[in-house]
Amino acid sequence: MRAHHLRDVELVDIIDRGAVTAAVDEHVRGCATCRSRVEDYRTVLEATRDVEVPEPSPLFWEHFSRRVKDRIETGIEERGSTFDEWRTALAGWRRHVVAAALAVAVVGAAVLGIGRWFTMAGPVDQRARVGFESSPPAGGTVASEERAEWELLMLVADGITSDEAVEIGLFGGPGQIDRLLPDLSDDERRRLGELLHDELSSTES
Amino acid sequence: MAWVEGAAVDWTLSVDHLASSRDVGGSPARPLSATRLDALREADDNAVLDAWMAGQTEAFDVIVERYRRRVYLVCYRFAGGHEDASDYAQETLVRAFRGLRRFRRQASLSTWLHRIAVNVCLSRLGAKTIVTESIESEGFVDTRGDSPADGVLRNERAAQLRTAIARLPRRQRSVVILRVYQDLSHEEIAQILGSSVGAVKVNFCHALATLRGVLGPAASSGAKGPS
Repeated sequence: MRAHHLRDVELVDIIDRGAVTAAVDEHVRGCATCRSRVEDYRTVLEATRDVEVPEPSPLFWEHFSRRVKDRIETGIEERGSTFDEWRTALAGWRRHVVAAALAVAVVGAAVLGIGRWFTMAGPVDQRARVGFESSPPAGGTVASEERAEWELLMLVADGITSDEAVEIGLFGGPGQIDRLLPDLSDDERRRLGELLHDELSSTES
Repeated sequence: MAWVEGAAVDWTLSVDHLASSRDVGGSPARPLSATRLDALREADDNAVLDAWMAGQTEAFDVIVERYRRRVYLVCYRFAGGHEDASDYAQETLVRAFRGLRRFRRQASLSTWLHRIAVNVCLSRLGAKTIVTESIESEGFVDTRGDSPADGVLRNERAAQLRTAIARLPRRQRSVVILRVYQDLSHEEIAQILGSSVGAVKVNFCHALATLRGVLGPAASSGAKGPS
């Protein structure tokens, strides 16, 4: 018997195909939590499938094809949506501001975090640790400005979903990590490996 | 399909004009005879694309006929209303027309069109208020077999789900629409969204979890047993 419940991917495989490995199948038969989850999700999937869309009439398609032809001829799709594009651009501009703010926050956190890795091996700088965990590093008049900025960034970052983070370019596409890895030292790689291992272990439990 | 496709629009004059002025496909060919056009309609996507590249401008007519409904339905799921869906679907096909010469066929034509449609919908919806309910659809759904109570419950649940799907994060919403309503495989969806299959499945799972929360106890089958 497996020690952990179904992963998301396994759950989707069961719901979609009903065919999974023997170990997963055995686990579902013996685990009320996972069995209930599978059945709940199947119910949700069926209910979602039942949400219908009205079929346009055959006459609509004649009109539709003509409209496509017209738009190709006149390029109206570029002019017709100017207002929408303007609004999209405005929304995009706001996102870029948020992205820039988040990027600063992430870089700052990363620098402080890496600093903390290395200070953990030697005498611990309590001020730096407190600064990392609760507020920006203190330091005269600059500190109050940084604190205000830090608090603003925390506010901005709060509630950002992973989808939004990907959308605004905070996280790159597949392969980005491959480009970053060569820049890491051996210690940093080992530490990254440990962090990933810990993260995966906590996700599975 | 329960309905009959409309007759093909005559693209020949306008598209021939575009073909010569924009260098679409190869050298513009003479209009196809009705027999050859019928043969093109029966041909697979690759043959239709070959015809397009060879300058047979009617080939795009065939592509529009073949995919307009599917594209429209994807757009309807995103937009939640007929007018916007029609607009987005038209834009999708116009963009496809403009990009067809650069289409390398690394993905299928269907996948490529879906990708354009999703991009169009997400970009056009980006600045709009989320559509929470499509009232106009209620009159189209055949509920004659339902009791009045069933009908009310069904409509209420459908409205809840439409709202919830519209509020899902973009990627989750895209996965639900492409998987549940377009019946695309996770592999195809990964190609469309430029993502991994695993990420598609995780997004799908998270979306189902959210929708389960919306449906509440109605979704709980309550299987109990030894853990």
